[in-house]
Amino acid sequence: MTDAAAQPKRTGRVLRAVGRCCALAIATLLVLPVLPAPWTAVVPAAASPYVAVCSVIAARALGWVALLALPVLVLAFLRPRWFCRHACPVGLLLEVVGWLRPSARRHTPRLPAIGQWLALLTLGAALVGYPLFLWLDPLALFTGFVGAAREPFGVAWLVGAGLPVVLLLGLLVPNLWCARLCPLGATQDLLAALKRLVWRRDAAPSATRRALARRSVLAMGMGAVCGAGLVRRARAAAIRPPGAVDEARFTGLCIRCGNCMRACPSEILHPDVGDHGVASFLTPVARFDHKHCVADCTACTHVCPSGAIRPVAPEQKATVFMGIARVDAELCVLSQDMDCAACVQACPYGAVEPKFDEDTYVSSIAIDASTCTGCGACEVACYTTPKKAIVVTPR
Amino acid sequence: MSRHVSRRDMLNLLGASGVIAGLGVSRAARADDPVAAPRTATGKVVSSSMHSPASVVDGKVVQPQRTLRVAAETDVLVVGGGPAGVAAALAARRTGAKVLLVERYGHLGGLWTGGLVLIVIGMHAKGPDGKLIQVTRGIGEEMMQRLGKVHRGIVNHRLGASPTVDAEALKYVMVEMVAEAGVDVLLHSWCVDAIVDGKTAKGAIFESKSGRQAILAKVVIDASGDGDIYAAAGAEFEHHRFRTGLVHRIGNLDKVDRAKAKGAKPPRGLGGLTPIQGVNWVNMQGPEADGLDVRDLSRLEMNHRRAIWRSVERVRQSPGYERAYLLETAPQLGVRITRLLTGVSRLTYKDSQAGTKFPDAIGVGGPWGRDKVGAWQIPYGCLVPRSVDGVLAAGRCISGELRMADLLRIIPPCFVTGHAAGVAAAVSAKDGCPPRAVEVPKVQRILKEQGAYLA
Ligand SMILES: Cc1cc2nc3c(=O)[nH]c(=O)nc-3n(C[C@H](O)[C@H](O)[C@H](O)COP(=O)(O)OP(=O)(O)OC[C@H]3O[C@@H](n4cnc5c(N)ncnc54)[C@H](O)[C@@H]3O)c2cc1C
Ligand code: SF4
Repeated sequence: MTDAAAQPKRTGRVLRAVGRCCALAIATLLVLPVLPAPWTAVVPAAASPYVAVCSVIAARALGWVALLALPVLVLAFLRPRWFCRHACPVGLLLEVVGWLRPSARRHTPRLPAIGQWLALLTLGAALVGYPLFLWLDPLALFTGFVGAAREPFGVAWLVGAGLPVVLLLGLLVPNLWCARLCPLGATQDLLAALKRLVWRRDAAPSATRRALARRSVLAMGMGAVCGAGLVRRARAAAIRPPGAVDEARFTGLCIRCGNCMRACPSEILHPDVGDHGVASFLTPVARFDHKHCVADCTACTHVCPSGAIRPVAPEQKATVFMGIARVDAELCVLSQDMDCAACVQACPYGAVEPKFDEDTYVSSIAIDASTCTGCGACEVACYTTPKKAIVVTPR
Repeated sequence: MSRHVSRRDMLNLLGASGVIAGLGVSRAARADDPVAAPRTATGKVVSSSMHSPASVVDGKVVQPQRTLRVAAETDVLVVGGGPAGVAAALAARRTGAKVLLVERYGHLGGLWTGGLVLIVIGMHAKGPDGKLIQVTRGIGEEMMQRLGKVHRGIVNHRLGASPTVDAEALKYVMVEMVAEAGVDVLLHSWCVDAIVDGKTAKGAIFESKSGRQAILAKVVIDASGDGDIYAAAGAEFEHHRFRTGLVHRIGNLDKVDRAKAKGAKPPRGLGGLTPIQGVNWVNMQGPEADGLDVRDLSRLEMNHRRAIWRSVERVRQSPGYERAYLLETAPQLGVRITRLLTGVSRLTYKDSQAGTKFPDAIGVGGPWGRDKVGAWQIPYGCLVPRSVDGVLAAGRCISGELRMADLLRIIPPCFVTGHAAGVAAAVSAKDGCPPRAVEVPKVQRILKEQGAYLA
């Protein structure tokens, strides 16, 4: 190799490294709330075509957020794994981790393309509304981790634990994640294969094509079956953020990036740590211990990269139901004739009313199901202790 | 008349100079009769020549124009002797004003005594340092302190708890306090109209066994609970229907034989404890009604009485509760909210939750909650009518949005706003400026000197 040939190659490598570092820095800045617009946290995870394609299919809705994935999608067609090589922040971090163990074997582990299976299973499951492994997207893991740095204590950090696990894996078996596991990398491979199929049918041997087709049909079919099973099993058991899709699909669509929990100014959203079944693990659930979901706030609905939470306009907020308040008359002091109406005063929608039966002379709290949004204002205000007489329950 | 005035003034003097202690409370606190109605010799045949009854003219009942006797002239007239009115009268008197308190019933205390609403809630809140403090203080707290010195006067009077008083003890303590302070009191006197000069109230008209008479005052404090006088004077207000109940007390609950109940749940309608052992007070929400409509009031009184009797019978039929009995129903119907003043300021629920600070704060209300955070300030503007002068509101009829009024009507905020109205009225009378123009910092300073808590 002559010096003249080596020079542009080295310049290219330096440029690529600078570009990747920039991508990492930009992604970090977008997730951390340094920029004035909080919605920027949506960008990194939304840029993943894996998340975008599967969530659009599963949610059966196309919003502007899904369009953010278009550049990476197009590039994946033009240049195989362009995103991995030039922009992926997780890829860069894994490479850096790899340097820590120069002795480790560099070459690709001899394993099947699990990532492709994951991507195809998820795609198939998305068809029935439950994208199984959406949460394994590296950009979602990255968003969860960087975001968790804002509040590293409490259960919220659990949401950020995915990326460290991947990095640890990178330390033990370099290349395993990117080459064999990552569903986003695999999505790019599949897109490249698709391009070959469509434009250069002759380029790939027919046996490879047939294997790919078989794998796709099998994985997507299995995904669809599993997804359908999970959708059927899901119960409406948790109070979700406002604008969340129905519970049956929510746990599938949610990529566990933690954006909504961090966006909430009232800090009522918490990661589920197993209270609502395995499928719900680390998804956001609302708790009304000290604050409620305020009437004019829609913050969390604008930071969801996967469409698990749909954008809500401020004027729609009063019609977006998170749950419904229910009263335990045994605990309610008004029902025991005392002068309490804390929940009535607190309700921003006038949905909680004291009622008095003139025949029996019994007092009670009545909830108007058509206007109660389940915002939790009543639950916060209720005076009974240790258990609240009025609590928000799933609708 | 001069004879009575001088006697009353002497009593005031005694009270003010502290000689009272030496005389012993019961003698010094004996009330004089303040209305100088001309005395009629017993047995003399009289015809009421002064009187001009109504007559029917063209099918309409017409009251002829007439001149009213002026029963009293005073600096501050307080209409209504509930927690707000008594606090206002005491505060105004202690600030140096000549005060007349007019109450339609024969006792003081309003709903706190006559309504048998015995529990006092929302007096405490966590301060900035996280320590629990009492936020509703001043004259109301003084009343409860005195109840503490009286046999069976009050229970649960300690930090963080909700004290419950005995109505009779409180009626007694209030009489002692107003008499000691030298407040002129007219009982059995129902204020029925305002005296106005343009847009300024100059006093009130009241009816009693002594007939229809007038009281002239520099400032009127409307502590009637229903805003009777500010409404009559032409102030704007909101008119609300609200839950209206009737409270009762049950006796002999210390003679209940729980063994007979065989583990069954206690029956409904046992209420909460009072300072008297074996006696509970039982609250009632009641249906929404118009507390300004005498038909509504009459219908509810009758229905509530029947329901209370049935409720106590049900209690008595529960095994072990046979000896319980209906001790009394409240002499006063439980009207919670009727008129709400349209004031210079209007307190909102949002303000209370956000802890909004007001430069003209004259008192603080406390949360009822278990964690006891979030005390809220009450601005002076809530007591001042937007459209008329010469009147201040105090108690449950001051200016606030309805859901806030549901918090403002509770006893502690009532004595807090009463206290503030009393001081402001006295300052207004002394400085010769209308209540809306009083020097608020001066009012705040005096309030603090009198033991009130403002922030
Ligand atoms: C059923 C019920 C339960 C309640 N429960 C609680 C509770 O648990 N805890 C709590 O803290 N608070 C409670 N409250 C609220 C509280 O008791 C009252 O709101 C409070 O006593 C009001 O004080 P006030 O001085 O403003 O008015 P009031 O107590 O109503 O006093 C007004 C006084 O003015 C007199 N008056 C009225 N009109 C005239 C007139 N035209 N001329 C002369 N005199 C007049 C009345 O006779 C009365 O004495 C309850 C109220 C009700 C009705
Ligand atoms: S706040 Fe709680 S105790 Fe009070 S009325 Fe409402 S439900 Fe009942």
